[in-house]
Amino acid sequence: MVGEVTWMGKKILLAPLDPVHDIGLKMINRALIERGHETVLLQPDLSPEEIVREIASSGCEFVLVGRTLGYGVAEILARVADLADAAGVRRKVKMIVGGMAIRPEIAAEMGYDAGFGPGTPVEEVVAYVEGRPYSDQALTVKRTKPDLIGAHTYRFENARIEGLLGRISGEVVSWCGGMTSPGVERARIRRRMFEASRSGDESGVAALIESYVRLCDPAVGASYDGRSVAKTRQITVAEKAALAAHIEEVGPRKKPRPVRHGKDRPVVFIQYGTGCPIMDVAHIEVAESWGADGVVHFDPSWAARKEGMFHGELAHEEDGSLITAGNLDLIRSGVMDSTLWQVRAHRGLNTAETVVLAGECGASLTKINMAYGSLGAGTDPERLVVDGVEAIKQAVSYGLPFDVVTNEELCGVPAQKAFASMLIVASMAIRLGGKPILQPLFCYSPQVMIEGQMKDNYVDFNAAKIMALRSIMDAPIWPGAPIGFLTHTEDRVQASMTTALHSCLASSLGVDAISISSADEAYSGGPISAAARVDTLRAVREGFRFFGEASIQPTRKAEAWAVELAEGITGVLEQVERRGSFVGALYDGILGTREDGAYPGRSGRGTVRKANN
Amino acid sequence: MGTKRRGAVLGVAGTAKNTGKTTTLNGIMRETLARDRRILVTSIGFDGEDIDNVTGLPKPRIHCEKGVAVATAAGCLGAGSARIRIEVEPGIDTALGRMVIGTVQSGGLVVLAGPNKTSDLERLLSAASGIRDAADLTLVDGAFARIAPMSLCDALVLATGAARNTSARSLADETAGIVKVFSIPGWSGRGTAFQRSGDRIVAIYEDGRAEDLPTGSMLGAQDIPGDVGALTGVFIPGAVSPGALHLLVSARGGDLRGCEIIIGAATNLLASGDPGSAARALESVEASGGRVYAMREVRLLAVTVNPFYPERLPGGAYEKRFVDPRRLLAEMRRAVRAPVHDVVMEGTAELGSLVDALVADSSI
Repeated sequence: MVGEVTWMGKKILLAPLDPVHDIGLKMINRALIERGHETVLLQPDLSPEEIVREIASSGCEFVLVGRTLGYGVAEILARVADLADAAGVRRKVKMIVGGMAIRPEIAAEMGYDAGFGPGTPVEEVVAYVEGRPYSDQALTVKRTKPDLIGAHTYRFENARIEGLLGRISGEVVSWCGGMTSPGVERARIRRRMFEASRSGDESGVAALIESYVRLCDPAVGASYDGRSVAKTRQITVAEKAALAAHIEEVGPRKKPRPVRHGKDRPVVFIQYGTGCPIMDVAHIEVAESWGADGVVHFDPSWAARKEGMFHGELAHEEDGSLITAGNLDLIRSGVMDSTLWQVRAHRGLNTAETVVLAGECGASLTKINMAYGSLGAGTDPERLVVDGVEAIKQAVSYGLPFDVVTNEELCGVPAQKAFASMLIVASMAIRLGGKPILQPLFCYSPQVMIEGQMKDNYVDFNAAKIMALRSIMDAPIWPGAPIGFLTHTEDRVQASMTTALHSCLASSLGVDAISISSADEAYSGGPISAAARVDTLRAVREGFRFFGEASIQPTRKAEAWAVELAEGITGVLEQVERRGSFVGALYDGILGTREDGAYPGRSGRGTVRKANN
Repeated sequence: MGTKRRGAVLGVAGTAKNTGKTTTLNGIMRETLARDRRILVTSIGFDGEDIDNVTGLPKPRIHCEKGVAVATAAGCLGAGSARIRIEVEPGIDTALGRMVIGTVQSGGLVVLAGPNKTSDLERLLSAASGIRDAADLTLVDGAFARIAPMSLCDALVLATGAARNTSARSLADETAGIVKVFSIPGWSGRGTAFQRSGDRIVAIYEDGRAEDLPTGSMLGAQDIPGDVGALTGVFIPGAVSPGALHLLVSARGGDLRGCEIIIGAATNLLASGDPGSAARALESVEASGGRVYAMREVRLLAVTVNPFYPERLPGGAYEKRFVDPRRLLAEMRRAVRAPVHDVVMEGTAELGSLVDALVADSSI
């Protein structure tokens, strides 16, 4: 036991000054009695003179005064201490004050030896009385890095869908095996760069950089010559040194608070991407401290449309932090070993190479998706599928699990089509030895806005998604991105509340992880603030505390919609199989039409070619 | 020779928040340093926030020059801008950690969290007097609604102002009452009965009997000596409430002639709360023919007045307001029998001279 000290029972006087609310002192009183101390619990609302008289006559060693700070209350609390001092009894006792709004500074000002504010565990007060150090294991969690895959088997529960996916993914993987692109080649060069660097082959690295730059957009290549990149600046040597010093000083002091209550799921991710890797570390530290288990890197979408990844440690003047090896190294230095760190690779021309960087820089997971990136983020479908398969292979070689997100739902693509795409990619991943994580959205999507599935509640349709996926296969499920998307408003209380409720729904459904936003993320007109991150982490924590092992119960509509969804997925997959090509299905709108809001991208079109033998 | 020289101990107490206590303290420090005196500064509370916790308005901070000694909680050392070298740890705990005594190496703002009870202030003063180059003047910053530890001070400066009461006349009358309480004369120590050191009330009767009561403080009817009719003197080492004094007067039928009441210090009468009622109780005793003395005198050196007050606006925000400073000062000087200063309007020179005279007296 920490701080095991031989102690004798103490005599303690407990004086509730509040005429009504003395529950805190009652709880402390009980704990003290159980520990073998002698206590005298006075009736509430005695005058300072009466309390001082009790102190003098009781022979106590400790006086615990309980009162919430309010109008005129500080004067009363100070008077009790002052009168005890003037009466000559103050020197014989330790006086402690506790209640709402009490802080040590206020306790010092009012004449007390210690002050305990709201949320103080009873055990902490008992430890003070007993003169031993206090360490609350519940407050300071010994964290271990969560394993999202866990015991999931990837076994299919729906044989029809299993068969369809097997054939579709087989076709894609086979076709991609004979194709390449600048993205694929850069990924392989990047990997050889790291290998050459590790073996000290400087001339080899230089030669590889030359080859690499030839495959890049000019603006990207220029960064390898030391030329500046628009909208960015180099992080200075002094800034890096300051970050290193900060991490060294703060690291040992980090004491993350648990966000869950009695459960080990869902794992909670936040999303960061301030533009500056140093500010990112600050946000990550705040989020970790308030309970986030994982952090997701958000990069700017314009960079994903460039061939090649920039070089250097670069601060970006707008939202999103550039993915460069240098930036990832800086950020990684500030992430706790027990925190899951995701570097996303899912939408642009650098998908495969991003996975290489994620693997080399120590990320825990990545994100790979071919449908959203090609139907909603502007990348050519053929290019993104080829790069995506390479990305999966790279992820497998680095042992990186990855989620497959369905963000095209936000464009208007119905869930059954988005899920069909997700399952195709997941099937490819399984075929190649990967560990995919399914990421349905908990969102107020255009589909439900039009069709009305969320007119009554946000529970049933989101629950139906999870039920449908579970009826198809046993795979980890990580709703995103973030949950509650399009239910948030500018009101921070409302935004925190909806995030918390969606989190509780996710917990009730037993999913493996969730991504949450900050309270100002959905509607921020400017930078996302660290305070707003705390808003939602606190709200989620409170929600988990509220429910504990209890749960949110969907109505029967959820089951009906789950069956509909599974049938819808089957129908889409059958169309994809008939088409005979996943890439063709993307172009033809089988996985999302223009009417749905899906538009095959053009970035990287025509860059795929047959691979040399 | 060889005994510890304590130097003068001066308390700076405020009658309410925002009455100019910190401004007065800073002014006294400046004046004292200009006269080449060594200073130790501490607080019986916590002084350091730059925003008032209630009003949200900015507050002055304590500024210490190089060479000033500071006694504060170790955890507060890094909270100010002054660089402080720790000299000694007097073994006193506070709500903000262990206390240290240090010397300012480079001047700046300091956060003070000092000994917040009399016994700890006593230990601090003892520890401080043993340091080489002990202070000529120890400044004790006061705390909200508390006065008891100031019984160890040689003198007090009382900071009051519109934040206490925006009515200049009412403020002046209250301050006059406080001054009256601090004017309680010192007890010259006649009679062996009062030589008993102890923490109990001692009642002396006409026949020479001395009776120890079971308590050290007179706070209510049960603390009044039984044979009050024969009472010639009562020694009250602990707290005295104004109500108890009134009870004593009425128990003697309004005639306390021949009765001497010796309290520990004027601060023991003020610790019961309202200074106005303390002054009225004193007047009642004197009007009934009784006499009140203090075992330990705490002289009221001066009063400072601050015309500022925070006005609460509809909606809950506060704004800075000021009463007429000249009218306030005039009203205070009319009613109060002690030097009254507005250190912002008139400067600190006169106050500095008073403090220096106190320091000079203590070094004789």
